[in-house]
Amino acid sequence: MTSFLQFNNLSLAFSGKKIIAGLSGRFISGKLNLVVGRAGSGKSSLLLAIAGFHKECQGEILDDQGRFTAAGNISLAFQNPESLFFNPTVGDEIEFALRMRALPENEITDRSRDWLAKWGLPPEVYYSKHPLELSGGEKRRVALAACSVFLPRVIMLDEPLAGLDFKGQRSLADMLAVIASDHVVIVVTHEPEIFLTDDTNILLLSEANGTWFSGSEFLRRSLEHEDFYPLPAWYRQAVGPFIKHAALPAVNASSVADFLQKVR
Amino acid sequence: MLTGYQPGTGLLYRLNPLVKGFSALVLILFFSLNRFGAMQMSGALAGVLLIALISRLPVVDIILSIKRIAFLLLIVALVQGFRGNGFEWLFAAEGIVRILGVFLVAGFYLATSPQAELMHFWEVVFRPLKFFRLPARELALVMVIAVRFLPVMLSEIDRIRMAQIARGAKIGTGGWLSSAASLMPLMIPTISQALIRAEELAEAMEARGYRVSAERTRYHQFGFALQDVFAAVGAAGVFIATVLSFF
Repeated sequence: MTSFLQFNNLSLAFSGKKIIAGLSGRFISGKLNLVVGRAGSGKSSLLLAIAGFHKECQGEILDDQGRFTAAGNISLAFQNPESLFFNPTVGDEIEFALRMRALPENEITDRSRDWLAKWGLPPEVYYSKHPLELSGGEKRRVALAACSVFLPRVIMLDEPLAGLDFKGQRSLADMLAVIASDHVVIVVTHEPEIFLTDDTNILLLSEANGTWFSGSEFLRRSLEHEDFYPLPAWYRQAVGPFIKHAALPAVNASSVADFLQKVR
Repeated sequence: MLTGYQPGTGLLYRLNPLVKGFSALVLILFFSLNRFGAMQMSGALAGVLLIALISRLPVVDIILSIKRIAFLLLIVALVQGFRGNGFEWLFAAEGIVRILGVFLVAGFYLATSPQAELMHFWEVVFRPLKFFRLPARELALVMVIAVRFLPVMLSEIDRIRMAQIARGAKIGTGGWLSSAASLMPLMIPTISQALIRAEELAEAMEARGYRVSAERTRYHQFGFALQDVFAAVGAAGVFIATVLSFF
């Protein structure tokens, strides 16, 4: 098991131009790790660097056992789900990672079908379909299922919410919260509020620098400075008066209602 | 390998496509067949690199990309090295220079020739086939598409490799043998993706009105200039030198 992924002075460049300079800090298991920042701030490049795909990379990436080895230990769901597909059926896509681990044939099929069903895609309907025939949201679910079925030590998702309806987004957040309890789960997103709880670990990338926040710190900063991160108006109105409170609620109605009951 | 067009305005870009195409063919013939030694061929290779530098091509990047064919160079060096009695470094070097010459000339030609120029050249090359009632233009088009699809295929292989590693595959983490074996799972998806792309391309061409054997006019007109005369004379010189090397 990997309990953390540590960066020591990590710098990334793209065609010679620095996009992240001297990043230090760590992603941890037990909490969901979010990477946020404007477009072009280096969020996706950071995931590619962890996966070993980004070559203009200096500094160290360590885990519990020393220098981190990506091969066989990571999964990365790309921003565009289509770029992950190379098999003729959804079933083959899901089974690929298990097959690479030489699991028994019946276990591969059973696990793959169960896992696909967990992502809201009934295997009797989807298992034999071509991945490119699916709708945008279905492609996204297949890509996420294919990337997480073997539960590697580090699971990375780049913009996983795109194309998912609200129910799908909610169930993704719930599944990731469970997986994150004993895996390092890193999510790059422009919509952090659906994942945010007071103990979420957040890395904000801006102008080549990285700043680490807890969920509460991020929410507090967003309430203090509207242009830091635009929280929904109803949340600002409801929680704004209690900005000094140690643990701020997640950005959903039930958490805010519970919070208000407690503090009033 | 450099297989895509790199926009530019240097010397090689300004050559007439026929002169450039035939010069490239002559140079490829030279590096493939001549009976000169490694030293003379290295001199010719330096000349090719100099012309590429003058044409402001990214020579350093191209030289670095040679590592993609390092395995091929190693095998050629081994086979050529044992050509005589025991292993001879000079023979090995000769084999490497031949492969590098072909690789770089083809790369520079493709990097400095847009689609229209490639089409024009291959149409002229295939024109004699019309006497045998063969579709010369279509054959030229097939040739150009095949060449232009090489970078697409390479990026497709890279994409599938990344998609497999992104799902926990351990590709290229072992030695030479395991790296070669790990290429096998890439083959079937790459071929199937290539067929899908070919079908998409055919549909896209038909959707834009392309019809086989239809009469066509030419939008690009290519003239001859002084540099074309020099290039043609140089290519003729190389051709004669290649033939003379056999005697």
